[in-house]
Amino acid sequence: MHNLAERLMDELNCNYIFTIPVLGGIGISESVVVTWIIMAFILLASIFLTHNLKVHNISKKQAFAEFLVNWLESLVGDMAGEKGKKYSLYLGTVLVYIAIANVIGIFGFKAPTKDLNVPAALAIMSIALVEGASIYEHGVKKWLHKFTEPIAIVTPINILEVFTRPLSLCMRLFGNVLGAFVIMELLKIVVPIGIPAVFCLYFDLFDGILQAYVFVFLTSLYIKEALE
Amino acid sequence: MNTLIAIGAGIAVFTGLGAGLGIGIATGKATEAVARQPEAEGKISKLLILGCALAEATAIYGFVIAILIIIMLNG
Amino acid sequence: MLKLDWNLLFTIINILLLLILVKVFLVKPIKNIIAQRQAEADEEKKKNAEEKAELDELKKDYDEKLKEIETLKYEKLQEVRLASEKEYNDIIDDANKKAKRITEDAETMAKVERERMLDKAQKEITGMIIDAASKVVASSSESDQNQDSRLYDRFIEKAGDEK
Repeated sequence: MHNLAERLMDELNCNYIFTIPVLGGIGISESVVVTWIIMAFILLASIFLTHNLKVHNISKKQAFAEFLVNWLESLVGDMAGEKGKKYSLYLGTVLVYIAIANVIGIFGFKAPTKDLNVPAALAIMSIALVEGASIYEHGVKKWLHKFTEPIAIVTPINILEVFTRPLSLCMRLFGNVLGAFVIMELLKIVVPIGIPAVFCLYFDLFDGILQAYVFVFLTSLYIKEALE
Repeated sequence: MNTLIAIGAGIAVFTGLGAGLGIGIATGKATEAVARQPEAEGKISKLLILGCALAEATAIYGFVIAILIIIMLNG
Repeated sequence: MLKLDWNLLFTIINILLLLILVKVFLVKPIKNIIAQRQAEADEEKKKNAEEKAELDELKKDYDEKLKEIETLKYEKLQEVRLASEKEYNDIIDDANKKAKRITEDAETMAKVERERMLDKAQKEITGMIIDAASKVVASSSESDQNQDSRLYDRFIEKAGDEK
């Protein structure tokens, strides 16, 4: 039993792959390396899909690429509303990144979202984008004034919301992936063959993509609210 | 000490109760809505999945707290 | 797993880099190609519209010409009709005049004839009356005879005038 707990802990921990020898050694963790792999994959896929583009007589590959871009744009654009359309690049990219990061566990990598740094970074970026969009849209004065709406007494709650929102975004993503991972590990120990494949379909594929969608959906909801 | 940690983690996981109730109610309402308006099934199921994912979050928070209790107090 | 460190910053940089990569290598080329296709479609549309305008112009021209021809035809027809009407009227007039002259001639002749007949009758009646009167008056004075004859003449004249 103790053995199992140790193995679980070992699986959960994100180790440093290597250390940059400045400032007393900055460890580069596994999640960052896997993120590089995901970036390389997306880059290669993009280059492959956009290779040899034509205006007429398009190939199946190009049709797929065009469909993908348009579909993603309309999906996140609809969520963010009319004014939030210009943020669809960020939302779409994050959606694809989180989706790949969540399901990459299937291929033997350690999912980056399992490291608290990655969901925290995503949540911080999202809240920065939301507040930035609000300032860009309304100006600093109106942005500050928005904290006192609808009445002045809710100002502390509104300010608190700036911190709880990214915390909730981060924890939702992190907890889901971690929970799914723990359950999968336990299942693999109890029943090594057969059953884990079915649950893997739900926890890794379905839940992973769903959480990516939820993350982007909530971010776009915040953006929509901020732009009102 | 270990027993207390285990009890604390178990209590934290009780948050799953709320999530289960919430998802149950949401699914029931969704079923009613589909029965009333079968043509809106696509929209309703999309909303249901989203709602479930959001309701699940409370259970996830409980789970994270449980893990935190175990790791922080054990380590 | 549960600690925040430099990797958070690295992740942010990574994702920003990913955004740029996606924009440059995926979104931009695809948007470009779609914009190109859109431009081409627009051009085609414009060309089609131009062609249509040309065709419309041609049709308008044709219509105008057709209208002109129609007007010309109408005018010519009108002219011909007017001419024929005039001719017809002339003929009718001619005939009318002729008929009138004939009628007038006949009337004059009839009048002359009647006057002559009347004159003759008057003379005869006058003679008869004078005969009768002279026979009646023969017994009376011979001197009054001339005076009476004149009296009768006047009477008859008046009667003839009244007729």
